[in-house]
Amino acid sequence: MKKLIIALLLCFPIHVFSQGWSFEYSIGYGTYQLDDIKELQRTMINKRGLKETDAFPGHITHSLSVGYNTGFHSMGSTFSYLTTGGRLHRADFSGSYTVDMITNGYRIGVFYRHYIPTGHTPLSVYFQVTPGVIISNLDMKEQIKVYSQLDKKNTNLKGFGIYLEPTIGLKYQLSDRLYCSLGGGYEINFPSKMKQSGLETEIEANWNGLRLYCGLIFVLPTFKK
Amino acid sequence: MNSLKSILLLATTLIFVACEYEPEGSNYIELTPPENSIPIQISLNDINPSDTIYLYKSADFSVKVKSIKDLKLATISIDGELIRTMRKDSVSFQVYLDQLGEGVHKVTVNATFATNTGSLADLMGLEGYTGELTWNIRVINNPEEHFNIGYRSKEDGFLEIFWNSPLPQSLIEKYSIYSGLTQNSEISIYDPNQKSFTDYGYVCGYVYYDVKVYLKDGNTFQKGISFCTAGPNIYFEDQGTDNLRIYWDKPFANGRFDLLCNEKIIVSEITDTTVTIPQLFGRNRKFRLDVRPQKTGYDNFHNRFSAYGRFTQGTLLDLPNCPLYAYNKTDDIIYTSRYSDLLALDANSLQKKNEITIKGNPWGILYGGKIATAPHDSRIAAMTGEETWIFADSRFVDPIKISPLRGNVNTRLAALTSNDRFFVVEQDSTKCKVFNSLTGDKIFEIPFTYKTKYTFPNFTTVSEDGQYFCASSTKGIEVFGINGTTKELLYTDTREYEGAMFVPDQPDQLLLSVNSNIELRKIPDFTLIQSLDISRNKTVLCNIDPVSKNILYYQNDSLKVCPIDNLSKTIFKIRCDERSCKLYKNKIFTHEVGAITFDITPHIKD
Repeated sequence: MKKLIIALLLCFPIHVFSQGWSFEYSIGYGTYQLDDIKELQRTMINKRGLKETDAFPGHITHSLSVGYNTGFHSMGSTFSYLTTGGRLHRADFSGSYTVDMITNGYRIGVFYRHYIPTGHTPLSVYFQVTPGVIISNLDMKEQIKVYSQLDKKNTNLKGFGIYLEPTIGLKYQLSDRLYCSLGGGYEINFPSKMKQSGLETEIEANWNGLRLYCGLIFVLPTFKK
Repeated sequence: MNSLKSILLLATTLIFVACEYEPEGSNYIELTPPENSIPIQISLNDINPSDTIYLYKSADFSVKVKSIKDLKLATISIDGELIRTMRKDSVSFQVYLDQLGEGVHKVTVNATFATNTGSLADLMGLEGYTGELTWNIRVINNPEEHFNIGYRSKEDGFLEIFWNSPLPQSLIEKYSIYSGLTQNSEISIYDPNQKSFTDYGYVCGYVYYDVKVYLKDGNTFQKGISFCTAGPNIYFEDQGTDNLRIYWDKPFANGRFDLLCNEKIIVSEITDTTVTIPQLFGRNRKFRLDVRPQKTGYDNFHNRFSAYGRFTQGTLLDLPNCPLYAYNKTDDIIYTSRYSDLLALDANSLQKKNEITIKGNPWGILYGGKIATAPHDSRIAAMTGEETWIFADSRFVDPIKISPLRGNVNTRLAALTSNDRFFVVEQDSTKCKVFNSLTGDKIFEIPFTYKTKYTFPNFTTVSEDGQYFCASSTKGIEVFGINGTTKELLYTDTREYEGAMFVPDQPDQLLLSVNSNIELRKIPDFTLIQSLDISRNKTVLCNIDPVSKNILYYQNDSLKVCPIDNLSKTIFKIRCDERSCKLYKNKIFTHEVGAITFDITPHIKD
């Protein structure tokens, strides 16, 4: 649903110039602390011989930003999608036991970017800070199959948090309206307790971690120079 | 521009949906699958499942399970209802009778053992070896209520007690039978298959048995039975003058019998139910049948029984002991006495025609002597303890009383003659008093020499016409002729006489028992008419029947009858031990022990 809303927003882009409006898509990589969730996974290890086969590794991130550029400044809103997961697994001749924990984070925030010219016109450096909120979703899918018996159990936890991400990057102009960017930053999370069926748990979705981006920026100028 | 938007939207959607993280990795563990089967041992009190468990009281049960694998869980259920779980290899529990109803129940022990393969299924408890055994439990509440005892007569005639046991023989240690009335001690039967007992000590009557069942576990239960079977009754079959058949009911079980008559054993320890003994006239014979077990070793105080019966050959008259008798030809009446009454009986039917009470003061006829009837009319003379009453006939009115003229049991002679005289010889007297029977006046006396000390038989006698008088004893005899009031000694001797009587309707014939003969002599010359040698057999003359003229005499434990004209011919004989009987109209009447009469007419030999 969130993805749909984001998609809808993108149907109505705000055309600005750069000085104008900018539309940026970045694909990146992030690492995630998620210590509570990882601890939750660890508590299930050795339960009936489960072993950790996947433990919330860093994964690709997707970000969309819409902003307004005014000379060296750019500000706007941004949306990011974070996802990772873990797996506990055990199988033998009698069956298998799988616990998949997929954690998704949906960030909505605002950004301010300050460009610093490098003396080499197409290339500029920028410093960016992005505060916002992050909605976390943890899906635990537990499946036990023993001989012909199959048992599934799904558990869903939701959480809400605030994040702040300072970033530093490079921007290179490819054409009048098209730029590419490359940046890296660190997300700092201030999560709250996740809830399961409305009941608060002791688990926090802490997305703290490194963020790396590589994206394309499309600028719609509002004035011709 | 619109195209660009569409592409952007689609691309964004695809990117986001396809970008969700998919966990990966696998942890497959190579394990050895379990064997198809393993040996499992399940035990319930070490009882074979094919055996039925009999439960008659609350009992302890012990279940043990064993296998090469670890026990996960064992369940114990009764009729499908779980009563116990066990996680160890053994458990004990108690089953109470009221938990289960009467009947058959199933106890099932189901044990599950781990495969120990370490597989996921094993860890989840979904993999294991299971074994199950079931036992049948038969609940018998109050086994004594199902314990039935019966009795029957076996083919060999002995009593058999039999029972059925609600429990199988394998549980039974022994039986014991207690019968206080037929056995001297308790009987023990150690063969559980034996369910019967033959009691040789029982014949009939009331008996009780207590049968006790001893079980191998030390418990017991018992049941009793009592019953009563009828003892035998005695029956008599008159088989003529000589034999009497006595028979009795066969008792329930075989017995041996003793038959007593008047407290004397006549047959002993017989097993038949019939015996034939000689008849004995003149006694109301009291018989007692003693019944005891057939096998002698089983006699005791309780198992003997007696049955009683009485038999009289002839007809009992309702008269006391020692009645007086006299027969009147004119009226065909037999006169007799009953206590203080003088009775007149029809000589044919022996039914009472009339009676009169002569109580006297204080003796009366009860302690009287003789009664006599006139040969030519209806008169009857009765000698009481105080006086003599002479009645004209059986109406018993206006008697002529001769007082004092006492009679008693020792009066030697009391006779009415056809010349209206009454002759009396009192006890120990040597005089014969003669009275006028019409007036009661004394006429004269006849003294004589030989007096007898015996009351019976007759030693003094007078002819029916009153013309001759005879007095005899063991010292001699005197025969007198009487003319008016004078007497003339016609004959005398000193032979040893045992009795003398003039023949009825033959006043000149005198029947004598003298020395070793019975003689019939003619008077007055005392010539011998007939003689019968009785030297071998002691003989006592009883009387001469005034109607048939047959002579009744006692000889060799029998009464015999012979005609007056042929002393040697015995026309009737009957076994008897009374010597003082009388014969009237061919009916024998006893005197000593009650009054019994026997009609010899059907038995007279031609």
